[in-house]
Amino acid sequence: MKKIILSFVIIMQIIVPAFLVYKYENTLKHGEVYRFNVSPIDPYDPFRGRYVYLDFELVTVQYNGEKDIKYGQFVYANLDKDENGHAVFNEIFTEKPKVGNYLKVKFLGNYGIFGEDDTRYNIGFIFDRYYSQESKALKIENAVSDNRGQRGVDNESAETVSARVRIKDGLGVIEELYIGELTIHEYLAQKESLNTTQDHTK
Amino acid sequence: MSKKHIKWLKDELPKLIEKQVLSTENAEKLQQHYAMNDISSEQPLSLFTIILATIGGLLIGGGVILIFAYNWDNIDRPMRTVLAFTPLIIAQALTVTGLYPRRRGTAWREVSGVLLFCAVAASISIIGQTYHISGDFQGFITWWFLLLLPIVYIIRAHLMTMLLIILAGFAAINFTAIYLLFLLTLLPYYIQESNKNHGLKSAQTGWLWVSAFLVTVLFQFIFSSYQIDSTLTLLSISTCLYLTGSIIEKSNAFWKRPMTISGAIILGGYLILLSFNDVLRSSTQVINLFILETYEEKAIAQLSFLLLSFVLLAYHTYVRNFKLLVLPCVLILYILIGYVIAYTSSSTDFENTVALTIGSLLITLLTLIISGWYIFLGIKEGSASKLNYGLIMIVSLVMFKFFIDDFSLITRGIAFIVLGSALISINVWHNRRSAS
Repeated sequence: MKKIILSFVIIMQIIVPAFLVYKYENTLKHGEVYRFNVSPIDPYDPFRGRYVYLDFELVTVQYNGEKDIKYGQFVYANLDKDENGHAVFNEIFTEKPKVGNYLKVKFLGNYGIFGEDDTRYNIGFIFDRYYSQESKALKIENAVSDNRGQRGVDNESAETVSARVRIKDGLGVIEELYIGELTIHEYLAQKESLNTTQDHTK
Repeated sequence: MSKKHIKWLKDELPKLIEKQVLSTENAEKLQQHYAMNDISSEQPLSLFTIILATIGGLLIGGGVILIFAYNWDNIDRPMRTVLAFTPLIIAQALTVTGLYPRRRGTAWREVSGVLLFCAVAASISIIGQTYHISGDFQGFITWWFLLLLPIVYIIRAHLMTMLLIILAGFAAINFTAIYLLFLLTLLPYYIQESNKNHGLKSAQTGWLWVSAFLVTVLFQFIFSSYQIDSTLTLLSISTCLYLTGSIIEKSNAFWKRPMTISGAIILGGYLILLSFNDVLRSSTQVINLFILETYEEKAIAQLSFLLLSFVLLAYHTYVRNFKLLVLPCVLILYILIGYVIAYTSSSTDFENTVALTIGSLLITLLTLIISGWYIFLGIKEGSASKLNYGLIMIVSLVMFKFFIDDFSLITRGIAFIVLGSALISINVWHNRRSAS
């Protein structure tokens, strides 16, 4: 009996992480691509290492349902894409929508929403981190800060920082971070080679 | 005879036979009488060795996690996924080989248990890191606990169990009250260890479990803003601890009875506190048993503890353990007084004050009765812990009354000297009596 229980537990200890891998891989392979604009900060997670926290631009959506929703509760937002491939959210539901693509999000109440429209609410995303090598995470954060600074001075030359996310059946998985049209790694490599060239010129 | 002494005798028998102090036949009879063949002749591992071995295991486990936390960008995703499973499979292999084909020593099981504890968390974390998923922390802790819980009962590794108790306590404090069930699932382990009379191991498990449980109760029911009757909840829980401990913990040693002792201390402490009007008034102002609409889990937990305490009271009444029913009378008295005062609180101030005064007098009287009862039991059974419990209750009651009420310094000084002298002299007399 003990052997049977032990075997079952050991199999479950492998199945649970394996199922997570299957879910995320499936989303990355077959999910639809959406862009989300972000402004990252760089903290540390002792369990998983250095990551860049992705502070997405605030999104407000409509809620026309009758059920009360608590702050922090998970709900489902249906979404479309604009002409640039950026995600556009319409409405949230307490149950999974039967039509169209949707994303599982966190309900954040209506703090900061003014005016007479009391049916619009803030939502937060579950994917809010980009894990990177310890030395790179700080560079990524600096690269983004530089672009944010530029945007303050000259909007046209500033690059948009965005995350490319695959979404399927409510699950969103970050595929890559972008500065403009370059992936973050291409951008850092380009910046490093520019700095090297400038040093040689001096 | 304890296992330790039987093992000593078993080791001595060959020498006694060799020196012809004992015949072979008599030695065999002794072996049969004490069931010596059931006891392993393996040298028990010293506590120091177990601690060092498990620290080594923790360091290895922690080191693996830190190495993976470095996040190798140069390794592609499929390879990272394989690496996520590697520590888990190694830890599982060590755990299984610790049991089959034959059960290995304590150090092996302890180290493999700790490694498995770290590896399960590491594999889920690394997958989250690989796919940039921050995930649901509550879900992560839940799965971490559930995937390890059955292993506790199979390999019976002490340190892994302690880590799991801490994890369960962490979940119960930070998430909803329903996570108290996690702690309750580890209670049978402590009961089994207690029955095997493993001494230090069962005591450590018991004290850690009780501490985690009480801290959880404090955070979930006392410190939270939930307006429940926290006094009633704490009295129910301590009654459950006291009466359950009386069933599970058979030893007479103070340090081997964490549930009984904790329950008794909380019940006794509350008895003294409730003897003061102000405390009784503020406790009875919040007599809300259920607020089901908004806080279902806490309300259900509160009701469950109350019902369980009544079930345990009924059980001990049925088996005629009347001695154990004395201390939990505080729960019954509080319910009666609390609800009478709650009933009269909407009446005139006079009736409310009278009700409060009568209530606190009754509780003071109960405190004196219970203290006297334990002093009597302590003297009759020769139990220093019971005697001192009764003495401490009386001394504390008198001291607090003297602190609160307006007595002169001289009066207080004389009272404290008298109490201190009584405490010392009764203990000295009791020790001499026990020795003779």
